[in-house]
Amino acid sequence: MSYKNLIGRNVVKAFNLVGDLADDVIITNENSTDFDFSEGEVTHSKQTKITTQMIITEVSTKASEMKDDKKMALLKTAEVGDINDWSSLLYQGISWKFGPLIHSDRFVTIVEIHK
Amino acid sequence: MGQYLNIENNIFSVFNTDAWKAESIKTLPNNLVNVNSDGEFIRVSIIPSGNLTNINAKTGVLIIDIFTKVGIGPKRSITIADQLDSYLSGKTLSTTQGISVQFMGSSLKPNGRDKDNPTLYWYTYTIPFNYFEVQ
Repeated sequence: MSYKNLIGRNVVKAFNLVGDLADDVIITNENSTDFDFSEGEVTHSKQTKITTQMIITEVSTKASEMKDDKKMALLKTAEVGDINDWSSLLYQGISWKFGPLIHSDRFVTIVEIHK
Repeated sequence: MGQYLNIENNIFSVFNTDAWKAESIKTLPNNLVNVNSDGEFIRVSIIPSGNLTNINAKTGVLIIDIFTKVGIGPKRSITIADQLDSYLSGKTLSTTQGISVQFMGSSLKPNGRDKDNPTLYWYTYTIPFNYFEVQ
């Protein structure tokens, strides 16, 4: 067996072993290829929805004029698709937006999510 | 329609013409991340920056970031700047009666490699404009 498959399988196993620390989420990805200068709007292509699991590794809430609930999410790279500015993540019925990508390799992705 | 939207609509109209589309230069406004590009695009930012002598007039600057592939020399960026000049420099735009945006002369500055994408070289094309509204 290749190391890639071996580690990939163990990542999936790890997400299963942590039980309820891993939450089911739906990631919606949208790609934009153009901007319509007559309408002043982004031209979106079709959405893709991906059901996957997320482990929250860090939580912070900033209570200032710009209220921000932020979480650090650990995801399986093979299942997140192409995260970009139009992507969103549905977690416990609430839509979260993706912030900066903290780390990503071929197995796991750590990314900020914001509400 | 407000002044800022009028300015935006007039300037954006340039990039919606068939002639500009035929130039095949990927054009995006600010606050929009470039995706699916083959390594060359321009980013348009409109900065209405001051008032003229009455409240129905404004001055401003149109800043266009030109990104081309690294390692090809300045010619492509300068060619794009010349193409922009042919649409903007000294031109007056008016998509709505009584409203016009009048451009002056442009300038061009090399900035080096783009910090976010070091495979791109970044020039800034700048051209001031005046906005007039006749009521």
